[in-house]
Amino acid sequence: MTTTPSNKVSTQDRLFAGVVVLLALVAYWQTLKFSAGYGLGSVNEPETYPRLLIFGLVALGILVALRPRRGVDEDEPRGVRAMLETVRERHAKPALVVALFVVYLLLLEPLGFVYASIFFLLSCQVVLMQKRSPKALLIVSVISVGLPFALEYIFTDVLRIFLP
Amino acid sequence: MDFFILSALDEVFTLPVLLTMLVGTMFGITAGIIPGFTVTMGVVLAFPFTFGMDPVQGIALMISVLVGGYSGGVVSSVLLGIPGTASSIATTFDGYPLAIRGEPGRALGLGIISSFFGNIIGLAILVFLAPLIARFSLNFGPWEITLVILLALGLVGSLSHGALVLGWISAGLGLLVATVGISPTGSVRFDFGFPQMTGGFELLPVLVGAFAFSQLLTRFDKNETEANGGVAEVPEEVDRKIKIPYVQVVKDIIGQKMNVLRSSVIGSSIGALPAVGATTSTFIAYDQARRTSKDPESFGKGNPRGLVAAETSNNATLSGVLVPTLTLGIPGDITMAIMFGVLMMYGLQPGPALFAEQPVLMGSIYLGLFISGIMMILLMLFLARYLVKIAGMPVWTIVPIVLMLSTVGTFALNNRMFDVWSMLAFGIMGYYMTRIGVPLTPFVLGVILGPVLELNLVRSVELDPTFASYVTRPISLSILVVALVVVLIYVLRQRKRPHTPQPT
Repeated sequence: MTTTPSNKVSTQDRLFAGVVVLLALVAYWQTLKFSAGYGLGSVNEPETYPRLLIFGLVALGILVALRPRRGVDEDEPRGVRAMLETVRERHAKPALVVALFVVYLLLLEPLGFVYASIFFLLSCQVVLMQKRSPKALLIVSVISVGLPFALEYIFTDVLRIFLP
Repeated sequence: MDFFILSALDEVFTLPVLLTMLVGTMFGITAGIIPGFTVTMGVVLAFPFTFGMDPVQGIALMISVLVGGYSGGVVSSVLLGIPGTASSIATTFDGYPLAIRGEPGRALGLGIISSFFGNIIGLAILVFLAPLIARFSLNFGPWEITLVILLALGLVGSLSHGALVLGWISAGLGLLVATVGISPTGSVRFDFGFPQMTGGFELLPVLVGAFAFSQLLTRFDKNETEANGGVAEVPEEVDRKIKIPYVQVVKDIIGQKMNVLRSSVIGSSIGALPAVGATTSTFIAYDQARRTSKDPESFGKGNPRGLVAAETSNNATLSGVLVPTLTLGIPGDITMAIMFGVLMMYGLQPGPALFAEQPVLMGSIYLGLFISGIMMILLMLFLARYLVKIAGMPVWTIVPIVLMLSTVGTFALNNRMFDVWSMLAFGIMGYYMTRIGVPLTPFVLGVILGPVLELNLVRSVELDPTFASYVTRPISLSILVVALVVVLIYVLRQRKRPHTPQPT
């Protein structure tokens, strides 16, 4: 837990506000391309409601960006090296999981659900596990092979739902 | 009333539905026991299995997972001192001290029976309250619906860990995501040239990605079991030969009738407020039990009253969150958002019309809550001592399994990989937002309520281009005043509050 003064913002909040404003501007640019619908007047045109939201988001984004920056936070890294170290510490494992998941999704159609899932479960568990004992590896192998076959049977044969 | 309950009995009392509920309750209990797994993950994992089921069976599965999930947390809270779910935190205050004091059976028994009473009293409140609210909300025109949605989104933003403006931005982003696809006037919006996007994003991949996927990634930051190599075990201080003293537990509960009733009412009432949830209700119920006790100093040291208050209100919250979901079509929390998605998958639009158009289904939901409650108490009383071993399931096994099942669920929705990639994209976005302290619940509600908001806003302007009806219609004006007062109170409270705790 950190304590955050509610009426002040952090650098991250400002960065987020900047991203929101940028997204809102891209969305506004897209609204210029909308073709007319069958609305009865300007209020009901397809771009009106999204633009209302976009203006609201820009206003809130600017509100966050203009707020006074909060004082030094012990949790906020100072310096580029410290920031990179924090990013590495905090995001390394989630990034690894995302990378393995992307590979899994890419393999799903060429290999099929069962084999792609065996690869994903096995690699993900082995990479993430804290103590690699023979017993733990055996359990992981059984789960990784058994579960995809069991799910394939339940979904395809019992529930009649197609899997990739 | 009688006829639809009888018809619902016919639908629910079939072997496949009862077996589904038994498995669902067991699975929910398991999800609740594993620290950090959460009820939401349980619901996310269960929803792909509903695709092959008829509506009654599918909804019965979801309900039973919810009932089991809300209750399961008591096991790890009492025996391990680790809350299985966030809403079980208050249970650890007195449950765990009672267990290490040499009464683990009594603590567990009290927790389980309190959960059951919370479930049943909450259900009674739901059965009484929901039709009244639904009947009243049938008077709502597009003006009232628009304002109720804005009130819900404003409330959710305001209640998001004190991050008021960030909460509103999150809601706004959700509303914007909901505009992708075909507008109410028939134009395609924000498709970016991709034909798959002309229909907009499917609700479930967005929900699963933004919430479940992102939460799984954040599990690697810190987990309570890490110190023990990723495995939670019953501490030495707790007697492992757990035997529930049924007579004493029943006497305890009878002696706390008012506590049980009060905590159930608190749970149901707080649960009905969007995004407030079980965690808040358990703390309020616990605090009320302490304040009204003759021996408030003993709270936190193993006072059964504290345990009973926390668990009763926790389970009563489930019925509370069902009230706005079923009567107004406004999901009270993330689990209800997924429930909302499942109902829509069956072509059912949650809201007041559901009561008139699908009375048997509503009866099935009531019966599902009741039967799951009975299954929960039986399963937990007989199996709790064995179930605690499940709490040792490590995070590195849970995460890949949940990701794989989420993939199955999102793919099976339309048999297309686009939905799975959408889930991944919203998952990464949700992870980033969680990391920097932007609340996700307003985003999710924005995505769900966006289409209804736009439709009613457009209708209201078509019917009255001057917007005057928003202030001339009595119900609309009342909602407007309530909305303004509530938001103003939160803004002022936040300005006065010097420091707000915010989870990192």
